[in-house]
Amino acid sequence: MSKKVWEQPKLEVLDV
Amino acid sequence: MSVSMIQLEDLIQQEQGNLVSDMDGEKVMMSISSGKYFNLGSMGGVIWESIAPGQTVKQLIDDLTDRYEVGREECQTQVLGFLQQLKQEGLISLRHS
Repeated sequence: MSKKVWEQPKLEVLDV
Repeated sequence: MSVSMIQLEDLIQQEQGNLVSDMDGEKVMMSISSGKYFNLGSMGGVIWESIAPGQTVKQLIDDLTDRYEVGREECQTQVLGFLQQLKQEGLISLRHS
C-alpha cells in the first residue's frame, strides 16, 4: 500500500 | 512564560467546547472559550482526527509514519511542534501516563 504525501502541519490563528 | 516539553509517553486529549468544520479539505475550528478561530490545514486536520482517547504522542507519531511518506525524526519534530501550538491555544491537553 503506497503512503500518502506528508505536509508540515501548521496551526493558523484566523483574525476574524 | 515557561513551556513544559511534550513527552512521547504523554497522553493526548482533545479539549471539549470546540466547534470543528471542514472547509475545502482543511479543518477549521472555533474555540468557544477563547472566541478564536483556527485553521489547522489539511495535515493538521488529519492529526486532529487521529487523536484517539487514551492515545500517547508516540502512538500518534507511529500511526502517522505508517500512513505518510515521512521520516520518523522529521515527523516527530513537526508533530511535537504542532501539538505544542494546540496545547498553548487550549485545544488539547496532555498528561503524563
